Amino acid sequence: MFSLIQWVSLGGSLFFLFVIFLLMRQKKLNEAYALLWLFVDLILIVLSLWTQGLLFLSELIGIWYPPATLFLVMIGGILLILLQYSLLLSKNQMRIMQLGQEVAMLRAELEILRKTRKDDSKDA
Amino acid sequence: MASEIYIIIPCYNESHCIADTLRELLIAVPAATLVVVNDASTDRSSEAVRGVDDRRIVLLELPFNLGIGGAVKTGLVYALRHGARVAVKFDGDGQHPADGVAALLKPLERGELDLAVGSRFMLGCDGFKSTAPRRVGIAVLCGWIHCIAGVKVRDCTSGFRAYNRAALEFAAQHYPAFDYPEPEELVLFARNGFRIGEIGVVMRERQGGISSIGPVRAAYYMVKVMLAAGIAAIRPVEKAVK
Repeated sequence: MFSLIQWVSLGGSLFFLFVIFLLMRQKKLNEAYALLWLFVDLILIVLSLWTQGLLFLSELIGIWYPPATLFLVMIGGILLILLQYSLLLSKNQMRIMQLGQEVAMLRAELEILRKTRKDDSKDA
Repeated sequence: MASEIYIIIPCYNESHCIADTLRELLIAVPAATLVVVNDASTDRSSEAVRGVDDRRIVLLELPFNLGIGGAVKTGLVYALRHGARVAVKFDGDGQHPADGVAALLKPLERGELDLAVGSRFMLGCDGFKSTAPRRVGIAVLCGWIHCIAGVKVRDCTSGFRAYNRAALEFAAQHYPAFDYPEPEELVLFARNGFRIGEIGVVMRERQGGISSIGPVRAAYYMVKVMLAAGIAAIRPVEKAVK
């Protein structure tokens, strides 16, 4: 029933699912990011298993070669994840900037405090 | 020690002119606190600032380069936290006239404006007006922000600006923290209901250092600034702070 290409895509997706869970178990992958990866991977697994669904979807968008639909879904998922990364990078950039600003201000306060303390001890 | 006027001076590799700028400001605005924000300069700017030994000078040293927007924002936040009543943004390279600060503060003191912009195009033909292609660029940007936000400012890239307390509170939170923020800032302030006005000042040619905008990057600058200003014009209005 199953064609070789389906076995390959199913095997790949399942292996990837395993890797995601492994990384989560080792606390190397944050749940927030794992969720999007899992979501994309689950769609791929469903489409690999459910031949009728894949055929229907391919016909709907006019793709002659159904496995190409899998690629399309995969690329869509990757785009989504990349976008998430850009958002995260922007947020982190902002946070790093604020940290730098706080460091600069704290440094200045410290310098002023030291100076006044030195002056005070001179007076005493 | 604590004063009500804070002058924020972003500084990036300006060791040869920053000290003169500070001395001029100390004489022209004796009541002010000068906040120099050293944006991780690679030259001896920091030593040059420390060389002007005066209690009215505060040196904020950023641990890494943030760009002009990030540096200015640091100074704004510092001024706000120390209870500034008005803040002035002033270039360290000697372009801005120290005696223009009083002129910029006047409409704020009278309660006529929230944000005053020092303009090189208001006082007839006095002073340095920049090069011809750059003037064209400035005119295009001014036309653009007039179109999208109704801002009528002729010297919209001028970094010489004064903020009253309300504008400072807003700026410390929302100041565009990236490169070349001047036109975008005007759109932001106009959108949020601040009164913006232009005051004529006599600008000078920079005393040292090189312009942060070379001719090669001009096109890139224009596109980026117009995009940033355009986005600022379609952003929702922030919660009123006034």
